Amino acid sequence: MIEEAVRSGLARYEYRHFIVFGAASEFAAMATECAGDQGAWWEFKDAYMLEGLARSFTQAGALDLARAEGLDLDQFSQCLDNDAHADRLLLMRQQGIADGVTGTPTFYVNDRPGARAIDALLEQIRAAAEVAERAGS
Amino acid sequence: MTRPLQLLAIAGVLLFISLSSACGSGGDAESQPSASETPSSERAYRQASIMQQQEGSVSEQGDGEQQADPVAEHGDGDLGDGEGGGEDLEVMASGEIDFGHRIGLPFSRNVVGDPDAPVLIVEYSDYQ
Repeated sequence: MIEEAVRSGLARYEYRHFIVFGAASEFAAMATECAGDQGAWWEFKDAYMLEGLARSFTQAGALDLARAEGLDLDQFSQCLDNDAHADRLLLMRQQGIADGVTGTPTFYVNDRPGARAIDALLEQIRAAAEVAERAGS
Repeated sequence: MTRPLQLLAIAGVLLFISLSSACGSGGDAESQPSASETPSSERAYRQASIMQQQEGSVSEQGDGEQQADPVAEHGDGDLGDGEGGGEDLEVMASGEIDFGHRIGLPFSRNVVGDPDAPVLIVEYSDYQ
């Protein structure tokens, strides 16, 4: 449903890591960011979130994913080993706390807290688009 | 006969020494400019290096400011658009999704959709 709003040009969608389940989640978030360096951010996000590949929460699993996506494995491994995006993940968490996030998932629509129910969230998106359109015209 | 030969030998040695000295000083004279050039070249090299370092540090600071800008500009800490990467990484981190249900949508790292879309939906989540 959110994809429809995005595909129609009404909205853009941003995913931010907000780690609540510990080291495995943090590793997966780091792996996603490292994959993002090579243009495969969304492939990894979907692999982790949609496909629920538990094994991919390990280093070996992440490397399998990276190999499957044709990534440069040396670059990817180096990124993981160096925690290259630790600051970015910390920044996302700090921003989430500043925004008032207490659990996941939490949505915001143009900086306003989003509804949890998808229909209410879509209504919020439409309302926000109307407000933006009026402000732009 | 012995003394003239000795004198001749001494004269020859003196001539050789004087010629050697002349050639040596000539060599020094030639090498001096290059010796004097070397320090100036080194200075120029060092200055160039320092300038490069300064330029590098400025550009690094600039990059740092650019990285900080999304947060400063948007206030809500827009963490998309390949923040934290260099130019090459940003190029690699954006494009058009070519798989799955988002196929054809433009993306920039963790943001997908039209950059000019009036609505920004942010999701904070954990994979597990």
